[in-house]
Amino acid sequence: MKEKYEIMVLDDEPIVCKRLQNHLQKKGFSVETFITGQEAMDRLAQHHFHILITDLKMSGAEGIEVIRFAGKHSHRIKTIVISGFATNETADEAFKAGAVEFIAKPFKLSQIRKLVEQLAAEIRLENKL
Amino acid sequence: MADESEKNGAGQTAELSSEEEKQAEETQRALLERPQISIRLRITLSFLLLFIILCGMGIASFLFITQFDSKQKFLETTSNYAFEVQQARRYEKNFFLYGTNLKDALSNVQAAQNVLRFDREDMISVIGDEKFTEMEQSLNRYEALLNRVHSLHRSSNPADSLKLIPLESDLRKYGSEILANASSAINQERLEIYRLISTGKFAVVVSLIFFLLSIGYIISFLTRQILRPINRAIEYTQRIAEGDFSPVKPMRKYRDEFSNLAMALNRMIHEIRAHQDQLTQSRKMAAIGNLTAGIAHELNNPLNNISLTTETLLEDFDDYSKEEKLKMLHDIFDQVERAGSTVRNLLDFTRVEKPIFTSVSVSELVNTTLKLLKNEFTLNDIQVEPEIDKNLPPVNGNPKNLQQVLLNLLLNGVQAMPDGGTLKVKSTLKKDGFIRIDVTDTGIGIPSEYIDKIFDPFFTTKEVGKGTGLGLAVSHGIIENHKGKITVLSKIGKGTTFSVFLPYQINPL
Repeated sequence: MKEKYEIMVLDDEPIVCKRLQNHLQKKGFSVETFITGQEAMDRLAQHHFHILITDLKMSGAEGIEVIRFAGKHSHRIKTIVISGFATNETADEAFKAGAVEFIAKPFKLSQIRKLVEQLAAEIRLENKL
Repeated sequence: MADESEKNGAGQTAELSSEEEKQAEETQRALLERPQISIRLRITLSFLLLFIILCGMGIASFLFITQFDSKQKFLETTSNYAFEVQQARRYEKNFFLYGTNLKDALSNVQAAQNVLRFDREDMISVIGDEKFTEMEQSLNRYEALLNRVHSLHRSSNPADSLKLIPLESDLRKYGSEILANASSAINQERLEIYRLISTGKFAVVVSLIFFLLSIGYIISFLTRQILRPINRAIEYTQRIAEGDFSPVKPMRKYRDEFSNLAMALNRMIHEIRAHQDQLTQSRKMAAIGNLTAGIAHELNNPLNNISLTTETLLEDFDDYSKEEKLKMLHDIFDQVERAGSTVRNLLDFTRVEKPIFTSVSVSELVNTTLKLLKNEFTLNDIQVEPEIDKNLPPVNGNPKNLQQVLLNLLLNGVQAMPDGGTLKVKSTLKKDGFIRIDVTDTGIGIPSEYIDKIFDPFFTTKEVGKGTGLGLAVSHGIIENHKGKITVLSKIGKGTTFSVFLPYQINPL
């Protein structure tokens, strides 16, 4: 039986959360969404997610903080950053904090889906080893 | 049109800065062009003057003492002379009364002649040639008479004895005349000495006073020359510290060490200015960076939302119910509106054309703005307490722009009080030519770390979609255009006061 991968989506834009959730759930992933960094970190502390999709610039806790927090609590988590302000500096910062992918807004659902599927395959491989 | 006015504006600033540069150069030249009299030279000259005065006093005293000395010597000589003559006359008297020897009288006369001969020069210098010759002649005549008397007395001829009688009276006459001359010369000289002494005393007092006065003048002169420029330099540094970068101008006729100081200050002003311009430039660049980041974020997010929603509809159109599809279309519509409003605000923020200024009544402005927001206030459970003075003088401004500022401030106040509260709008006339409008809420307050940033474009603490972060930046720009200023005072949990200062018209047209 195919393992169900758990994905957390964090973005202060509710539409992003909703669309990603709908889309990824349709493709067989389990998705939880959050619009504040604090809520996301509270949940990350309790539960292990395979993949984190997060925005960088939000009111309240910055995305970078959440990425570091996620890395600390579950080091095998794979983080995809989605940002409306994509520059080399912000991307570097995200990668240093532990992100593995960086996608600039506006992006396509298919783009995210492909990435998520690719990461899921990686995780599957890692688990087998 | 917009392009043209922008260009004009840029041209003006360029001209202005080159004019300032020119002015600075001219001042520097004016500082240099003055004739140079250094402080060192002035101090040296002052002391030289004092030295000359002192030397003059010394020379005068020396001359005075020399004169006094020669007079004293004359007195002595004349006294000796008078003594010898007196002695001679005594022997002469004894000769006639008791027939004693006349030789002693003659030797005294010779001694008197010696005195005259010995001190001839000195005496001539005091009483003059004529008088001295007279003295000498009468003494010689007296001697000649004595010699005759002596030779007549020695002869045995009795007729000669008879001849003695008229000679005796002649002798008496000449002798007393010589004595009288001598004593009158002595008296005259004494008087002269007394006069010399009193003149000397007077001269000492006068020169002392003159000396003290010159010292006083030199001290006050040097103090003026040194302390005043120092005080001025202190004033300049204060002025510069307050941000006035106009160059230091020449204040005196001459160039000295303080002119060098002034020129150094001017160079420093120039450097500070250059650095400040550089700083402003880099801050502008940073602001542009911020602006770009803000624009990217504010536009990419709604675009992303539109893209995701459209993609969902395109891919799985049939999977969703009619309501869900309608909801998604509404989302798209809202996001387009959101992006559009960001662009509109951005245009407001960067608008270059000058708004038309008219006479604006503050009380009217506040009242119409409050009326516009009446609904908003009731919906959010907000009490409004206007304290507007109706007799305020009008301000020169653009009513639409000023209303936009007030709207922004009032709406910020409303949003800061999600559970309702009181909004105070107060106007006061200030003495420095400004009208102050305070908008005070009893809301959540602004954290101190954000206070510096709240007027930056795209800085916002509001939730997504509730604010673009341009409202206060636009307001700030508008108030600056009106030559006013906007300040903020906030306490967490207590509320925030935004104060707008607008210059009022002193002579409303």
